[in-house]
Amino acid sequence: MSVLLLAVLALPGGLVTALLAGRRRAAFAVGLATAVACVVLAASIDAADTVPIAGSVIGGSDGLRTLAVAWALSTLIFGVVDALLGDGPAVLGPALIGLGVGAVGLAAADAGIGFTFLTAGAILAAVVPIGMVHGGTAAAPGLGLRALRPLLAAGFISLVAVAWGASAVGPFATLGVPGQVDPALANGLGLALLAVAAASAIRLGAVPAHAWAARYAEAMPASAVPPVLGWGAAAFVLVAFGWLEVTVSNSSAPLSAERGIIVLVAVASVILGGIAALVHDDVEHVLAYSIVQDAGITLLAISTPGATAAAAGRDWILAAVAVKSGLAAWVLVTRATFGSHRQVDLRGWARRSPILGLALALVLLGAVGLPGMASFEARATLIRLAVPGPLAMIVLLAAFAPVVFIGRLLVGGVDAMAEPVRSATHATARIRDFRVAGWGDGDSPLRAVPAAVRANRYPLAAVGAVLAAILGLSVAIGGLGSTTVSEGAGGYEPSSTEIVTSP
Amino acid sequence: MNPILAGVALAVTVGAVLAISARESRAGLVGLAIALAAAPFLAAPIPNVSTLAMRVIGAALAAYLVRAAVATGPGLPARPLSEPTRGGSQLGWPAEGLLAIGAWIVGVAVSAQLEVLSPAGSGIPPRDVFGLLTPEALATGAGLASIVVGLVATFAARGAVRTTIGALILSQGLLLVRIGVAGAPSDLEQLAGVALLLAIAIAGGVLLGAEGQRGADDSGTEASPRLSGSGRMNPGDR
Repeated sequence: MSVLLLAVLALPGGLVTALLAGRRRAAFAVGLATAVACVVLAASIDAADTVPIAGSVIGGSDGLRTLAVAWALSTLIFGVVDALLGDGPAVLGPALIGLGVGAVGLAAADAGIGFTFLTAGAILAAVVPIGMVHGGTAAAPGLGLRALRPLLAAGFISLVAVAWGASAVGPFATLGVPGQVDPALANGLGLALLAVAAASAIRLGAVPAHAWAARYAEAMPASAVPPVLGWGAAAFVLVAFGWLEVTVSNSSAPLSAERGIIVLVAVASVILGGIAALVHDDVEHVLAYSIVQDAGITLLAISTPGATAAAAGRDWILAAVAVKSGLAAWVLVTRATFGSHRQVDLRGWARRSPILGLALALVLLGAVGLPGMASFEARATLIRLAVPGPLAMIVLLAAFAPVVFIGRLLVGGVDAMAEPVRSATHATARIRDFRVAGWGDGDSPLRAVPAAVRANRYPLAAVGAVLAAILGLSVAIGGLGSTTVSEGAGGYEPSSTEIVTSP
Repeated sequence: MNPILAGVALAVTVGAVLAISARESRAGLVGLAIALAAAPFLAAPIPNVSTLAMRVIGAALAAYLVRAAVATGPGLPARPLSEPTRGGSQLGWPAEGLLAIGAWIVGVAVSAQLEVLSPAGSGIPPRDVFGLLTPEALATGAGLASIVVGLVATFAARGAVRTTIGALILSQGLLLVRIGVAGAPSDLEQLAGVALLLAIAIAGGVLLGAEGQRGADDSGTEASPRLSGSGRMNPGDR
């Protein structure tokens, strides 16, 4: 019931927030109140809470609770940061709608329902902010169409695969001899695997379908990135994992060629995404290409059969999205604080704003990981299972590219200050010399608080970035009820907190 | 063959071809409305009244959202005589119609094969053409035709109007094919389909609004002749 309540609350709340965009304070009040309520409702999702509805079933799970809590918290943090930075509520409303629709899509027992809802939510979360941020500019229609088409393509491809799976020639209707697979069914399974992998690659922004993701991250405020390329994409992939588990992974067809193609795309994403994040100068591109790299690791989970890879994939996608939400928050606040997005203009940023330095250090820790952390073990497991021989070492090294591209940002942060950073005196907290606006007694504490918030909005936004980074690190470690990892006799050992989707 | 269902399937296909190939946006929107409103009836058994009403109202709302966005935007810039076409398919309705007929044949053939292979099916292919036109075959045929005509408009059209109309036709086609090959969907799945159509319509409305604002900005800087809603040039612009 909590999932339904979450949707029932988030959808109208997000809609009202979007419609009130012209009245900024009212929009933020409604949006932030809705986001807080969504966090509470997400935390109350129970694994035993199953509701039959409209001929199907909406069910909770521990994994869904983890994802929904992190998603709702991220939405709340970005909403607060946007409010502090003075950006219009262009992202908060659509993000809440995406959260509500996405939660129902994940909770639905049917993969077709999940893909359909998630595609609808992604379209709204991606395109509506474009109209609000870029409305009236020449770039808006083109940017919107470039975001809309990949989302549609991913949704349509996955729905075709699901329709085939449920048809008379799908794996559920075809009776075969145990241990043997009908060649026609094997071909169908291979095509279905490729279709779902292609849909996931497009949705995640993996190479070669990365261009739209890079353009979107470049053109939109960083707060618009996590709802589309982060949480929404993660939910889509989790539904894909569930469908593949009950269709392709259940069969004994080897599908070596198909899995090889997916591994090739995944490896290309890991290596090229890492290189692109290294060579680009602006922080939005670093964010975008680091997401492309994470997408490559996720595709490795799709290419590999078995429950171990699926569980590792679930841990990975959840941790990667949460950590990159922290990076997006850092990008958003850094750009707003210093007025530049080029690394050459951002030299010395951490000296000017140590809070932002702490945020990026936490992001680095979450992105690279340490042995025992869920994300670290999941990444190592996926590469070991999917990539053969010496290539695995190369891919593993490439997967640690965040050490370099985030480390470079950190090193630049303690360098001598560039001019935009030196002139950004508002980046540091002001305890005393802020001015209380209005008439009357200036010492009134009630009026001093808003004045203090206004005077310190950039440092407070930096605190928001730290909170987003802590959220990412928590999920990367395996907190918030995420799956646990132990290197026992059986190697990677997933717990039973999976989001399971039936065909 | 159920003649009523066959008529509905024909209406869906004609609406899809009209929506994609019409050069005037109003004619395209009429085709879109026909295709979206007729498609929910293309199922056997017909869904219960509440589900049917939800789908029809959702389809009408989707079509209305696109229409409202088109109507409130400024007119399209007038087409110079050197340009062959502006709105609608570059192929024209006869070619789009032939593509739809081809897709119908493929869809019916696929459905017939699925019927033979289905565990619940007879295992014997029908002897005549009318026997082939089962409700599933009609849904598959109309759906595949919608997909074929909507595909290019969705992924290759320049403007937001054609892309939105194409995406709506394509989505509707996909939902029909899903019904045709995998049986009747649950009510929640139909609700998800409505949500998808509305999301596309809203996104299209937003993009049309952005195009309209850009057009309004452009008109302030250059005196380009504009078309009225009917596609004809305004008298004052001649």
